[in-house]
Amino acid sequence: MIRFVALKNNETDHMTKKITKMLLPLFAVTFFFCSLLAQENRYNWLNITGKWEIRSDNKKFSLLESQRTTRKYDNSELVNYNSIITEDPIPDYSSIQFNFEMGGTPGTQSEMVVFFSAQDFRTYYGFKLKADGTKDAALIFHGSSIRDTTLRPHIKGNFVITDYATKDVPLEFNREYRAEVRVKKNRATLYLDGKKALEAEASEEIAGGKIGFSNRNSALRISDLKVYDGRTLVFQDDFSKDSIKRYQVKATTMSKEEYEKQKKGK
Amino acid sequence: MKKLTTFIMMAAFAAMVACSADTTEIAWVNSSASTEAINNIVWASGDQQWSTPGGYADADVKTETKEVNRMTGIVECDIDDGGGNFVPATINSINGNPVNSLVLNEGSSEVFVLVVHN
Repeated sequence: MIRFVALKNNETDHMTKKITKMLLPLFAVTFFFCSLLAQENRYNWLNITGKWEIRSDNKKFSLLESQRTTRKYDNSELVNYNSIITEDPIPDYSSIQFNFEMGGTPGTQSEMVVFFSAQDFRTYYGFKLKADGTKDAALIFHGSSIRDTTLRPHIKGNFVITDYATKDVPLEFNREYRAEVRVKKNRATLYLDGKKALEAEASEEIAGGKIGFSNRNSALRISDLKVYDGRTLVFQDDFSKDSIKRYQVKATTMSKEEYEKQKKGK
Repeated sequence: MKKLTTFIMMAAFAAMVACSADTTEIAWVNSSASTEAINNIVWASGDQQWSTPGGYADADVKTETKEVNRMTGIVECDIDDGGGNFVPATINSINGNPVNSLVLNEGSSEVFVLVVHN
């Protein structure tokens, strides 16, 4: 009797091992495809407003905002521009490097912003360039904060923009510049083509957070973005892949009676 | 007789006014096929607005039916990204057509089912 049970246990063990052996590769393949799918659904960016898209010209990839015109939704300053923001915060960084080009007709007032340390759409710091392509541009280091933190997020106009420093800098339309934003403690410095353009201090330490770009009126083109923490590359995008999350709404219409009928049927 | 004629004329006029004052109304449903709640729906640049702080959940939640004045217009939605940040999302297709504007029939009462995705 004991021998029979032992045999049976051995048989069960053998069967279990066989099933495990068969199922393991199946699990591995499923896991591989699931992780691939999960990776595919990961976005680098969230399109807040405007029409941000990936362009490839002469094998050079870039991020372009093509809507240009803005609307005052007023939930935040970012929403009032055409803005794009990283989907995830970057915990620590000391340098943000990228190429940019403001495309447009000289004489048209245009603006671009590189913002960083964004905790949400209303709390961030940024460098803004206001240019019309005919004379020097106004370069402004500014910060956005929530005016009344007790109000609910859907209340419009509940934010304050504070300008910390301003300087006029030469800027041409339709010319690519290499920009670098260096942050250390509460100090932010913008370099254009390797030359220091503006250094300014914020009222608090500039911590990590989301980064992004805003545009108004110009065809703003961004390329070759690299974010470093010291010498460590912590985020980069060469914009060779469309990794922009965009909220889209599709609608169907039906009569009220039709809707009620469908609801009753459920 | 004169009084009767006046009364009939007034009654006819009142009936005409009543008939021509047909209201047009819309309601929205955020489909359970959506991926997000919708916080704000704006019809025809503010002709009418549906708004709720918590958002209309992506669970076939229907908004209240509201009367609209403009028969044509575009539809816009504000979506909370989950952190109290509002992302405006326009309607990019209606009944599969890549349009974001609607033409309503005067006097109609229609329900629009919205599907938000990314």
